[in-house]
Amino acid sequence: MLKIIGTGRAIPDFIADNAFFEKIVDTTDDWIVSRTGIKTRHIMTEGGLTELAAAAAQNALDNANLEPADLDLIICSTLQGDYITPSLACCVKSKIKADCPAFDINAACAGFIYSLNVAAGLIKSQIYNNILIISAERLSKIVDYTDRSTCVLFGDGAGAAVVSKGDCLRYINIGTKEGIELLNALSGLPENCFTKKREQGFLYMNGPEIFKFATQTVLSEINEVNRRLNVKPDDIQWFLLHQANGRIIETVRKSLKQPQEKFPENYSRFGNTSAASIPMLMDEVNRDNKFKKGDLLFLSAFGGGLTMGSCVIEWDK
Amino acid sequence: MEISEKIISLLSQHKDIPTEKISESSTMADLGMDSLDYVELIMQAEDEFGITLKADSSMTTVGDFIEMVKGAAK
Repeated sequence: MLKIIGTGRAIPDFIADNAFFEKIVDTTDDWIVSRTGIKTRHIMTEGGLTELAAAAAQNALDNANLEPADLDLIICSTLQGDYITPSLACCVKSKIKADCPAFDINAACAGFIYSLNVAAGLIKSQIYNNILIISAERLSKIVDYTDRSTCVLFGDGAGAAVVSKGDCLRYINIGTKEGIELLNALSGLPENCFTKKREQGFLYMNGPEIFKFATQTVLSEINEVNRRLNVKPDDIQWFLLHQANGRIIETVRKSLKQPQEKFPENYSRFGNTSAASIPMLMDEVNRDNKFKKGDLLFLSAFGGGLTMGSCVIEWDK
Repeated sequence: MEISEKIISLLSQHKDIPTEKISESSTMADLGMDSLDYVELIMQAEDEFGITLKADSSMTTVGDFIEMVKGAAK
């Protein structure tokens, strides 16, 4: 149905290291690193998410050797753009001077894979050929920087991919599971003649239950890939997992008995960047020229909803 | 293998501690476990005994955990 023809990423300049968090909450570098593996995260302190998403988009277009005018569609996955309306995708379209339909989806941390699934269907419809997918998140807007259990986990960032007609998507599966109460952030309400003011809520997460959901989801998906494609973990060259927490990734890796080099990571430098984490990671490995033509990539993500998404894609660049 | 023996065996493998150093009165702190180690133990027990446990439950001692697993396995 599709193949990836370009990747890109954009990262905010401000770096919040663990020493920064030692000053604002009761925590230590040792505790953060041993529990999560995170050492730094990048935070937006100026500008809007549109600029970050557009930078990732242009990066991906350059990698694909395409101009904005070549795009048939832009899909952005994000928890929240700069505006309630227009969508982040429309803002990016305007910024990069594309001329095509554009819309957002919100599937939390599984947003990139949800977007791939949507793009695959639309390419199969033969109405669209070149689709730009951007996953961009400004999680710092919804993080409570007085809550030591969550504030150290998240960072801001944007990842992008240009996809086009091809036959590289070997498997894709998206889904949901009950668990609204396990991971959420309540939206705000204005004060007006119909509603009382409600402040926007901060991100809440039941860490143990999400850890369990994440680990069991990824392992279950690997079994499903084996069942449907007869592809075993040994046959997969790259495991690009949602970069939520180093302990989740290590638990999966040990369970699959696979070597570390198959599990690239960026959580130690960027924290959990929600839907942006996988495309950012994919771009990093791509720019390091580590992917080989024919390599099988297993992508898997999980997030608020609860949402999950996994796919196996063959690298064709 | 009895449930208690199996759980002690799982703990021994997970934390690389000889089984003879783990008893039902051992606490999480005694075994150097943090809350994520505990969730991993829960997942292993679920796989081993075909049960479902709440990941945000808590274990004071290994004996408490064994009783929780026995309760879920009934």
